[in-house]
Amino acid sequence: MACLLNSGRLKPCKDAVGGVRSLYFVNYDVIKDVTYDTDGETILSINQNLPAPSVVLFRYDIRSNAELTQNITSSKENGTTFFEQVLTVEFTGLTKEDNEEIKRMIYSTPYVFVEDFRNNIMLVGLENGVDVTEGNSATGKEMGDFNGYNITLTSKETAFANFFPDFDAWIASGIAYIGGYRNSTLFRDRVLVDGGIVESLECVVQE
Amino acid sequence: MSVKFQYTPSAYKAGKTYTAIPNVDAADLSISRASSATRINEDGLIEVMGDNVPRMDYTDGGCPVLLAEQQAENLIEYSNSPTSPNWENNGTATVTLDTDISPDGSVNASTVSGATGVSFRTNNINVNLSGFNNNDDVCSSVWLKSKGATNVRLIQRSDDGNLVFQDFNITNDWARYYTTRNVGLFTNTQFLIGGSDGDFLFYEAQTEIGIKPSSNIPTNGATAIRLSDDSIQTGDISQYIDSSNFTLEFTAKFSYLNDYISVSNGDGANSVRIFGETNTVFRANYLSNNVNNNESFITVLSVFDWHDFKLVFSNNVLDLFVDGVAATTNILNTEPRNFTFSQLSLSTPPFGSFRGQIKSIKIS
Repeated sequence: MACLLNSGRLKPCKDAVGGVRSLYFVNYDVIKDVTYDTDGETILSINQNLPAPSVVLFRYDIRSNAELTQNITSSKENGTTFFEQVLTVEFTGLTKEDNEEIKRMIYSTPYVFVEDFRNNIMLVGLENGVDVTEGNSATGKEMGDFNGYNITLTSKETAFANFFPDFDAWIASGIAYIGGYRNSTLFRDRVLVDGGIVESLECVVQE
Repeated sequence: MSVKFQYTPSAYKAGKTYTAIPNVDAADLSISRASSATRINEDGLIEVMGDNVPRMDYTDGGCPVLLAEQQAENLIEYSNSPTSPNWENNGTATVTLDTDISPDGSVNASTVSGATGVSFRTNNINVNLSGFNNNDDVCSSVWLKSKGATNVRLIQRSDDGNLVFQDFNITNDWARYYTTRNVGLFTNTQFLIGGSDGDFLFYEAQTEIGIKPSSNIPTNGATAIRLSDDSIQTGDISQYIDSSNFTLEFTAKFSYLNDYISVSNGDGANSVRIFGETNTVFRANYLSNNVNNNESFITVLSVFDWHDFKLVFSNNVLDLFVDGVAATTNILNTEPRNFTFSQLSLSTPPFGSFRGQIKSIKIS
């Protein structure tokens, strides 16, 4: 394995912004494998275990209430390195539906696509999935206090979370794109384009 | 196993109701009904749906169910106009039309006054109905709401005076009440509303053949027929069904025996299916080339209640679970399977369509 450095880094323009815009959860058994660009950091394509329409992404609109931190643990003595990908998320608002869905999140080991405010998409937990390792729900004391869920999702991986620039193209291949029980964007769009009527969208995919 | 197909009643247009997973046309459920029909909509109001429009029904509140009914005819020619021909006011009973808001949200409920007293035969509103066959079960229903009254009696009787009646406590909320009678050797019945202790509101009376009332069939001058909901099935979804190993789960309420829900190759001769066999027994079959390879059956209190069904098909063996309880499975034959499961159907040729209510269907 090449362990030698091969490039430097210029100071970039001051155009960076922090924060996470959205998270897209997908069940663990969905992804079969991925193909990488020659840099080994960029995912070119995702091979699924299911045909595209059966792959469902559950979108959570976050708007800054999340952070992806990747902690590097490298041991000179043991000659090992791993990357702990830690995703901390605040879901505002307590609901019985959220209780149920977050409980499922805790019980499962999903993958998470993280979209930041620079439109980067990174796949967290590619090798091992992510686990909810900490969390709580809180009502808050005062009217202005936080009311919702604090969740920490963690995965130990052999690399940083890979970038996936062709995420939109992957979605366009027919991936079902459902914003949890609240919003079924593609489903609703398909119905409306077909001249249909959508009622009780919150009832779709609440199970 | 991942969910490969999931239908939840939500979206529709004439001729189809949409499936979210997979989000493709082939997974949508077709439906046909060559007449209008009514449902309870999201606002809790009775709404008329056009020909072939599937009905997302909110009768029980919460998420809707897909409502599928058999053909029925309202034999009352003026269902919401109890001062019209065929209707009769007896004794002190009077009717004032269009006084209050009805269950359809319009001001078209009528006030009935004076239909009071123990002698309901004297003070009542009634309608005469005929043309039944001997021993038909006849169900008469009406929406009522108190306008001072606390109780109402619904009666059906024949020419010979043979009658059935039921007393109901009515409230300030609209509710539908009904009484059912077997006409026996007669071919007629009279539906009477009386025996009250005050004024009450009247909306949409219906008399039909059957034990329980079906969805409202409005009439205005002639009897009206609501045709059956038929051909409820997907297109080719074979790519979303592992024909060797799949699980079909659904929550449903059957209205009739021998109505099938199945996964098949589009042919009833090759299918995994379930139906109510008797009032208390569900039976599931795995048919291959019309040979009954497996059967699985379970006894429940009533097949006409809501139940959660799970049919697990694996290695040519079908296991059934109802409300989480495993059924008894018998392996009868080992006819080789040489087909691909390709279709979910709420009917199995040559049998009739499923009639009842569906909350969700899932294949994994």
